Amino acid sequence: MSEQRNSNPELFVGKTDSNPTEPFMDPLSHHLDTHALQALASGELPPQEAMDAHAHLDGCSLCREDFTSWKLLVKNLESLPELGTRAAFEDAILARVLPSTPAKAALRHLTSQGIQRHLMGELDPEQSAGVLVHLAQCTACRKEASVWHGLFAKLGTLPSPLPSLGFEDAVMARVPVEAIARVVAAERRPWHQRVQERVAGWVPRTRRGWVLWGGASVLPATGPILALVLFLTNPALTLRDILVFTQWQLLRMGEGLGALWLKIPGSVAITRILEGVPQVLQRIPPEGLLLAFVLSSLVIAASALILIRSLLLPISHRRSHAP
Amino acid sequence: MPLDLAQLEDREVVALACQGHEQAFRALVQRYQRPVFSLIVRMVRDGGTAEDLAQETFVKAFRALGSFDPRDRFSNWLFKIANNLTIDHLRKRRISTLSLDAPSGPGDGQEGGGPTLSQILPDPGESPAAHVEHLELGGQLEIAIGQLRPEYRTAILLRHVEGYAYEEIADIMEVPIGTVKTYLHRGRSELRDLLEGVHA
Repeated sequence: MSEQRNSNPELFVGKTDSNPTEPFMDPLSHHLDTHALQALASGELPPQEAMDAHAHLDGCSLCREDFTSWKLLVKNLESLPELGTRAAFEDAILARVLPSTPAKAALRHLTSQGIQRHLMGELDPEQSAGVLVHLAQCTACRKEASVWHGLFAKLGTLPSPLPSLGFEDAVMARVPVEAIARVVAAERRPWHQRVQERVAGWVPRTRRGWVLWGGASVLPATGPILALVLFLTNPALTLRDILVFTQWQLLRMGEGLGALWLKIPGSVAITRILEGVPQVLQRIPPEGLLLAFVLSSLVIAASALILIRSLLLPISHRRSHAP
Repeated sequence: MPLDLAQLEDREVVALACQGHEQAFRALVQRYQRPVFSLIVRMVRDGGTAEDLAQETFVKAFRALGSFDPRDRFSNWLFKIANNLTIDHLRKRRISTLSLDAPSGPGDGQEGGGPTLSQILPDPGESPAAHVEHLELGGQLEIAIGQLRPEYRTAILLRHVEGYAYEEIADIMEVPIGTVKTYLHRGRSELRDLLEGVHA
């Protein structure tokens, strides 16, 4: 009966074979109490008490059995594998424990872009120092930085392959060196030289060229000249009539347009001058007018040809652009 | 006395080329054939096509030397031409970007010509085991780069392989600096995901 024990070690009673004076002894049962057995099993009992406990165990089968089960439990617990925590867990605890606000602020995680910029040396020294301080404290960001560092290191070691051996010759075979030099030289002359050359290019070099050039220039002017001659030789119609008619048409097209014209500063004076032009023209003999119109027509025709020719030619770009 | 072109800056070599010195043209090809070809081959993933496009880049640049402003950087201008040609090529052809070792397409007019990844990575200084590992890592990275969008690929190659600044990349790609930063950030993130998928 005295060795019958409940499954709960703290509830057993009736033991008589222990020293009641020992501090780790249960005062009622005179057996080793649960704390003492656990401490002994895990090696945490002071040496003297451990010796006494072992002495008790030698003579007490109940306590020995109890001790064996505690020892087994402790051994099993010690053999459990250690489970790591996530780095963020550690940082989260630190962020809650650290008292100062700057420290907490420092534990806000770095952005992925910030880490990348730090690794690429794109941050200013102050920012970079801040990142380094943070990395020293934060395992999560350190791990992130390590991943990016690995990727950057791999990218940095990518080889630059060469093309095949005949590449240079193949390129040079397609490059007309002298022609390029001529074009570049022509394009890089000062603008006035280029204008001079362009004009010189238009001057005919042969008699036939002159005839063709003159004919081509006069031809477009023939129509207006004939119209002018007819107009000047018809006494029923004068330039003033045409001017008045045009003005009347304009006024008819809209009151607003006429009012607008009169509102323009100097419009009255311009009208007077235009009204005076026919009188001046009428004093000039028809031959003189004809000559003036032929000359102006030549100039117009030449200008038109130059314009057309210029539009058809490639424009020289002064700014670098990818061809 | 012959000119030592290797000692001259790009600007000076270009000036000599403009005067009709063939050696200056050759010097420019020698200087930039590796980076230009390297960029193009990683974009088009085919050695033969890359060589054709690299040739075209130089020929086009040389023929248009008259429009090059000497105040600009020649290398930027050249890369701009290379990038435009490559993007045009990629737009015209939906080529496979999965493997650099893949044979040339039927329409390329090449029969597997040009270097493959395996041929361009040898490093005789490594131990056999390290060399194999290097090839493995390089191969995975090359494949991952090949899976990126062409814009991301260009930005990453110019930044990490050629070492260009944001401004220069923006100039070459003809996009704002902010766009370059976005391309780089997204490209790196995609690269990281792709490589983590490989290692997982």
